[in-house]
Amino acid sequence: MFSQTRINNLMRLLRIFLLHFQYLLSHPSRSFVFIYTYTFLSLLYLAFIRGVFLQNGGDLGGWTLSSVSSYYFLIIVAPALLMTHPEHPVLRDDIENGELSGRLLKPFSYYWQRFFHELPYRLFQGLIATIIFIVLSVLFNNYIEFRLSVLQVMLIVIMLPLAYMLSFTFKMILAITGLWTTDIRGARELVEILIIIFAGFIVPVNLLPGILENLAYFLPFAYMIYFPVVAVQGQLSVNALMSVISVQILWLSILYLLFRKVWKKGLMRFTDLGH
Amino acid sequence: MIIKVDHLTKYYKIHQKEPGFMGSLRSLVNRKYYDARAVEDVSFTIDEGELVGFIGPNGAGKTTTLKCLSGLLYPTSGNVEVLGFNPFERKHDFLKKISLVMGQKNQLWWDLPAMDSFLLNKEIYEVSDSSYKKTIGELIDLLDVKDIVNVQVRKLSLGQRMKCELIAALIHEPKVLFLDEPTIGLDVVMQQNLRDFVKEYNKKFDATIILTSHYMRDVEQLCKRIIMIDHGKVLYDGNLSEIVKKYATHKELRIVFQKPIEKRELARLGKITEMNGTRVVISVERTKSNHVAAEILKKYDIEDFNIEEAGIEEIIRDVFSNKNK
Ligand SMILES: Nc1ncnc2c1ncn2[C@@H]1O[C@H](COP(=O)(O)OP(=O)(O)O)[C@@H](O)[C@H]1O
Ligand SMILES: [Mg+2]
Repeated sequence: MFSQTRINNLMRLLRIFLLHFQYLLSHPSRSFVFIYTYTFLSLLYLAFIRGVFLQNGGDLGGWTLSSVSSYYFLIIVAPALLMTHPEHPVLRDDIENGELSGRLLKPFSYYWQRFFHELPYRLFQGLIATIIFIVLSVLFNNYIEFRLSVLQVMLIVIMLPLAYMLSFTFKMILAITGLWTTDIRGARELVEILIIIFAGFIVPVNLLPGILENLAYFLPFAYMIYFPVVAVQGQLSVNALMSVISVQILWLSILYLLFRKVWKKGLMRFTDLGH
Repeated sequence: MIIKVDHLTKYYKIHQKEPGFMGSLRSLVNRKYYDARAVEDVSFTIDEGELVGFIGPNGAGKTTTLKCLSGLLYPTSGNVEVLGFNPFERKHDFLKKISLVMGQKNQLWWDLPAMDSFLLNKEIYEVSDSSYKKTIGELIDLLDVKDIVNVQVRKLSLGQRMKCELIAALIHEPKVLFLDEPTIGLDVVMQQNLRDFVKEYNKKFDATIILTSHYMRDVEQLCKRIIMIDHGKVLYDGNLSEIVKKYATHKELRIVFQKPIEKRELARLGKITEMNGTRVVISVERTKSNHVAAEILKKYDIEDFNIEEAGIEEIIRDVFSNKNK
């Protein structure tokens, strides 16, 4: 099943990954800014929702104060681990500062070059966020209960990389629109707002007002953050997990094809301005 | 034949915006473009192992041509073939055989020693351990950078960094090498080092190299053949020695007059190549130079006077200004 060349190639990818990890470790402090923001915002939302819960009594849309607290703690870990940001280096380094030409001439696809650049950041920040998660659980004396079957765990293991690739591919498309105009700050901020709302950052998606909730299930963002979080919380049955994974695969296929199309078009008009 | 360029034309579409706020609005709806003609109907071929100098003034189209050859840019029209590949497809088999080095771009990891970037390229280009060891050893020796490859790149001088850039670009031993202004910004000693290296690499690996530069010294020392390009068009393609022979028929009179002289009056004597107040350089046919010099000394009040052989730089400039008329 695993031929020698296949193993060699995997080892090669592992070495490429490790070199990128080494690169991240040469400037680790940059990683903390994101985490602070996520932690701060998440605790802010939690403070609000706690107020709502205390007014309404114990239960809201199937959430308890305890489960909703865990939700917001996990909303610190999930984006640290799963919400990719290739658009920053792609726009700033590659397109504006002209490093793209160097990367295009490497015999390694640009998409995967950017993937290997991004992955260490997510793993590193995911680790820090996990520590923050544990500290918060202890501080608030609010512990998450993992009541998952083996099958559920296996499906979650499939779901997480899909969520990761979904956000990565989506952000890559957004980033390479910079080949048309680098002046897309407005569009990027709009997308960030959409993500904050529909990925479940402010409130769990099923607490969004009716039409927004339906929209959220239709858009890809909930499948990047919200569903992985509630899956880990044990809120999704095996059937629900399978249908979430199906939608993830569907969205990923669509977005990847779209990426390929946009990329091809963008390269035709690429003029390597930053020289 | 390693490189074949056939009627290559590359226009850049430039977005033209009208000034002011209304202009911005209008250009959102109705974008106006015009073509910047960077390269126009360029043809040449290059054989294996040749080291060709690609020269021309700023904006002539040198970099654009190299970018088309390496596959970065999509030609507006015409055909380019390198090593039997269409560069723009950027097949991995093609990319593993070429390298484009641009003087003012860097691909090294800033916060790590260059050695780590070399290792990354080794993996990306799938260079075997043994061949990597051998090549990197040779390159480090040739460029004399043993002491600096383990220092953080950000701490290196420009020249040291350029050497490391070169190594990173050569780890996969490209058969075809495009060097775009590799000596730009380097001091004289470093420029010489780099030239020696390029020569050596060309011999050692039988590599085909195109070098652009506007330091004539680079080309003079390295290239038998030059391609001169201006306004996107080829002006001359042939041996450097021939062009020197043909054009070294002139001498340069460098004169500083005591007071400004009318240009028209001086133009009678030869071709004015430089004029800056009382400072004038006139290019005169070799056989007439003494005669003209005597005439000038007799006729005008002179502060300083020199007769010089036209250097290659001047000869080249001569060709450019002649053909542009
Ligand atoms: N990315 C670009 N977009 C628009 N015009 C460009 C771009 N790059 C170069 N040009 C124009 O094309 C012409 C040729 O440029 P270039 O190939 O860089 O010349 P050289 O390398 O000989 O200095 C110049 O007029 C330049 O202004
Ligand atoms: Mg140039």
